[in-house]
Amino acid sequence: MATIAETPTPPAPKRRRSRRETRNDGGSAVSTYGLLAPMLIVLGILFLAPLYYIFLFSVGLKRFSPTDALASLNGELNAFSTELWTKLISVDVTVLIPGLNFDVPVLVVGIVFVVLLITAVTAGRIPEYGSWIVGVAFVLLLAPFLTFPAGNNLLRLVEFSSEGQYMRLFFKSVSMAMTSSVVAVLIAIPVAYFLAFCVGKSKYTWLLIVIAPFLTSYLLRVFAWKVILGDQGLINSGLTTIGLIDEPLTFLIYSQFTVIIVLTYAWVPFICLPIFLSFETIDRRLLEAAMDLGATRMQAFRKISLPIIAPGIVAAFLFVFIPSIGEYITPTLVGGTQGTMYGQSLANQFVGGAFNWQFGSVMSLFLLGIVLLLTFTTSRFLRAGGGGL
Amino acid sequence: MDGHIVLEGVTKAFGENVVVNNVDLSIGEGEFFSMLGPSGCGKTTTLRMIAGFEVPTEGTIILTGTDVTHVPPAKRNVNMVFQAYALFPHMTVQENVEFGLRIKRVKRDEVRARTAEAIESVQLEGFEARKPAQLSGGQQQRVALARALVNRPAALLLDEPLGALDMKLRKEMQHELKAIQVRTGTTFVYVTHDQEEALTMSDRIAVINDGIVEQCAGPREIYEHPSTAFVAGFIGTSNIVNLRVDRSVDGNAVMDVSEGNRIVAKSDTKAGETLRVTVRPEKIHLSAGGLGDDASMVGGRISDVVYLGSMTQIMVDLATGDSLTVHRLNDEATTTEAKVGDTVTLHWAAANSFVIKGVSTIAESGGDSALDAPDNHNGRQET
Amino acid sequence: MARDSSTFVVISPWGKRLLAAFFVIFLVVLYLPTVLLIIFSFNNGTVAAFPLEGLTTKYYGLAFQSEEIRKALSASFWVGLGAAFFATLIALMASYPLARRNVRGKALISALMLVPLVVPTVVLGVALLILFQRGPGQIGLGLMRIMLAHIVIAIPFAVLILLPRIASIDRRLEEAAYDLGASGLQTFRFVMLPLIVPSIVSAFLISFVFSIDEVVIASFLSSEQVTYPVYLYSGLKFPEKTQTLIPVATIMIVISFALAFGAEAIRRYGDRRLVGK
Ligand SMILES: Nc1ncnc2c1ncn2[C@@H]1O[C@H](COP(=O)(O)OP(=O)(O)OP(=O)(O)O)[C@@H](O)[C@H]1O
Ligand SMILES: [Mg+2]
Repeated sequence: MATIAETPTPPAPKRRRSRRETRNDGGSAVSTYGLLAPMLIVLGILFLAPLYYIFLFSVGLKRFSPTDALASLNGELNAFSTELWTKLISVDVTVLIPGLNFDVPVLVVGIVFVVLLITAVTAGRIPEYGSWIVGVAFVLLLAPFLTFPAGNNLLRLVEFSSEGQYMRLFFKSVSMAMTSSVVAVLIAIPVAYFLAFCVGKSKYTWLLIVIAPFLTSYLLRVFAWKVILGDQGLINSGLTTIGLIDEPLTFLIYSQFTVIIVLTYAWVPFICLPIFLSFETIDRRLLEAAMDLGATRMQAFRKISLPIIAPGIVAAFLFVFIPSIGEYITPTLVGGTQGTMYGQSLANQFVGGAFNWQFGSVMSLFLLGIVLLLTFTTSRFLRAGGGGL
Repeated sequence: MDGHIVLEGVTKAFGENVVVNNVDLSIGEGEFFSMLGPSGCGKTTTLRMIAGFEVPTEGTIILTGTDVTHVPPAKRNVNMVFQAYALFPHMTVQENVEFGLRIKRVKRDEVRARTAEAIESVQLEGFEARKPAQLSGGQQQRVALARALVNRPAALLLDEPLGALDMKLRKEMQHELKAIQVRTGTTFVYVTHDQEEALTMSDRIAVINDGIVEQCAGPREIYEHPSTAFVAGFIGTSNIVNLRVDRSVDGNAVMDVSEGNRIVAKSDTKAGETLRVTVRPEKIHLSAGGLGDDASMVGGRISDVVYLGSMTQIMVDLATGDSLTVHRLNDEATTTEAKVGDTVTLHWAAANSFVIKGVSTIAESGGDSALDAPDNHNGRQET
Repeated sequence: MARDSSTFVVISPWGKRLLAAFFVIFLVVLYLPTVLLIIFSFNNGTVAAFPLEGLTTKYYGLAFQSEEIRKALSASFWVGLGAAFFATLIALMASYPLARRNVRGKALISALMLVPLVVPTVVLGVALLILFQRGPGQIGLGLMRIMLAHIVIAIPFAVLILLPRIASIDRRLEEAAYDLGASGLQTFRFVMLPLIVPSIVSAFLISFVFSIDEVVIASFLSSEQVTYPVYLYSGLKFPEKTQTLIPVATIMIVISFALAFGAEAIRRYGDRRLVGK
């Protein structure tokens, strides 16, 4: 690795005193960057370059058709234009709160979200009420997207709808991803809590048993749910056999409900890990001290455990939310027409029926932008130690 | 300068932070040389520059006559015993000790013989097949020693090698280290912040403060003739007195405190100037006696008595409002018991008052107690 | 940390029982799909549905006679092996300076390295598709393209495993080796490598497991020869084909479990070895 000591430096007095040469064991700058080079090259060519290309496509600087004539025939952009971006983004959004119903420009919705997100990340520094403000901001961020299964359709506390079909699909995907993330976290917390505090020495073995399914084929786990939820699946055939139903319950398969169930199932084992680890960092003596000082168990949890595990919970949430929001496989296999997601529509622009690479690029970059914004702000939140919850 | 290891004007800065400042040292062959100083004073950094892990910002390091300032550690014939041993955890004792020889492609027979010899010299026979994690702290220490010694280095650099051991083991290992040093005749450069350790083991000691060598001398010299306030304060307990010379008698500078009370130090300084003088607590005697002009003599009241086992530490408030620390051995000769409130006269020979460098404030000197002459007497002179 | 003598402070006895019950139900649901899959692999029917139509092992035989399946499996294996090898190697090379040296722009480099983890696979898939089809040097080989793509995503996984491990090794161990005369390469070979081998193995296994399960990018980039997940994915869309897919799937699951527990066992062995038991 390091190339020190391969060639002894001849004893050369003071002349060779450069800024870099302050340690003798650190190896030269050449070897440092030499070691980093393969990674930088691979990421440059296979990660940054593709993103650059997709950007060129999204603004019409490149197109799929080989000639200009063919491009205009296929309805592709031939020169720089933000037309496709406008098509995706500047659509009005209808906000449906039960009883109310009003139109808002998408820009306003975006600004509100960014403000809420920044508040949630930074408000922890405000003394006294900081943690309340953070909590409220988080609830306001999550609540509109929480959904409840109701037959084949889903109920939302607040629904974002839009005449732009892609934006509508995007909001729907966010809702589905959000719901499965929240449910997954809610399931993982007690599991992790149990493993961290109630299981003795064998807890790491049990943790492995919990996580292991995550390492098996994702496709097969999705497929297995088809066997469980399908019209002739475990549940329907079971219920029919005992005579509870005559017709199979159709909402079990090929619906938003199915997609949410499967996404939750697929990610719960994985997020048990970060939550478990954050529980592990709690020094039990702190809790003992708190109870010794007269706190109840709930108070001890709220005042001591919660601030410590908050970053772990947020991280766990993101671990589910980020991959789910661009999901493509799950809705294709179990979502049917009801459970379509943004990722499918995106892929469709490239390999499916729609076949519009330029618009597909716009959709990709939009999704990427949202995900990066989310990652960036929350990583600040995580680094700030949970925003002082 | 000639010597086994020579540092000439060595300075090391990490960014703006100067950690070692223009250090000149010359270490002789076969010498047990200690670097002593408080935490963060730059001892480890100096040692690491000798080992080759850090390159000096300025200055030259000469090893057995060759300039090695820019030679990487692997090519220097010195070996280091690290602060926390740094034994290779995945290798056995045997493999750890052999490591250096195998890297140098020494012949198998010789490797075996020298390894066995090194393991024997640190009395670890029978532990060859163990992993470091299966050894006690003291045993790990010995492995680290053997691993370095087996290479027959021109000098062994030890960075607080006993820091992690408990008191008793520490004492044992001090003896053993010294014995090994004498037996092998290896030059030891020994870093410690434990003054007692440095005093008992070393041939010479460099007392370092804030990257500067305050004094470099033998243990006795360092202890009895500290040349700066820092050294006086850092080594043992010391009283520091500001002495304004009132008159000069027979090469002694005398300050008259009051009728019959005076403080005397050997110095040619003319009347009117101010000296800083240290005196060790055990050099101060409690009984009265008709002593001449070549001894200091001041009266005071005992303000505190602390029994310390083999001796008693007595704090005496002087009439001037300051206090001195006195150590008195608890042997048969001591019959009278010192009690708080007793009035006593302190005296000590002029030869035991040492003039130290630096006339700056006393507060930073770190002495346990300091006698500052009263302001109303002659007035304070600051330079 | 929590050394468990009592759990009193964290939970009441009843709460503990409740949690235990929840945990058991959780485990049952967690493993139910896998168990069902294994059961159905022996189902003597043509569709995976209840009720079962008797037990048979004939589909195992059929599955392995299928040329398509064998080719897809071997494609996946080679792609996975290549991706895991290069990702681990590149990650190892990059982790070392990042953990040990002052690298200018360290924060930026680390961010760049980890970002592929959060980029939706669909986006990366289509972006690579665009690059490979419309970029300057077009790479036509299907499997090669998939492997390259998998390397990009496996690098962050491998770095996340290797970097903390390297950083946790006392720098003085390396210095001790230099001090004893070892060169940089020898130090790496004799001191660093033995200490991080378990992490290298897990990084390799994780990258491999990721690659042989990756379907989104592979389905965008594959041409005539598909990988096993892509084959499975297209098969799962047609119920009549599924019965022959399940036996291989079952075997794959068993292998995945074996790899997961094997990686863990290696990691524990690595820890124990240092203690010398
Ligand atoms: N690589 C480095 N970069 C920046 N500062 C450093 C570095 N190494 C040491 N220092 C600083 O240099 C000063 C001296 O450090 P050094 O390790 O030499 O102290 P020391 O005398 O060995 O102390 P101790 O007795 O605690 O071991 C410290 O203030 C330390 O913070
Ligand atoms: Mg030190």
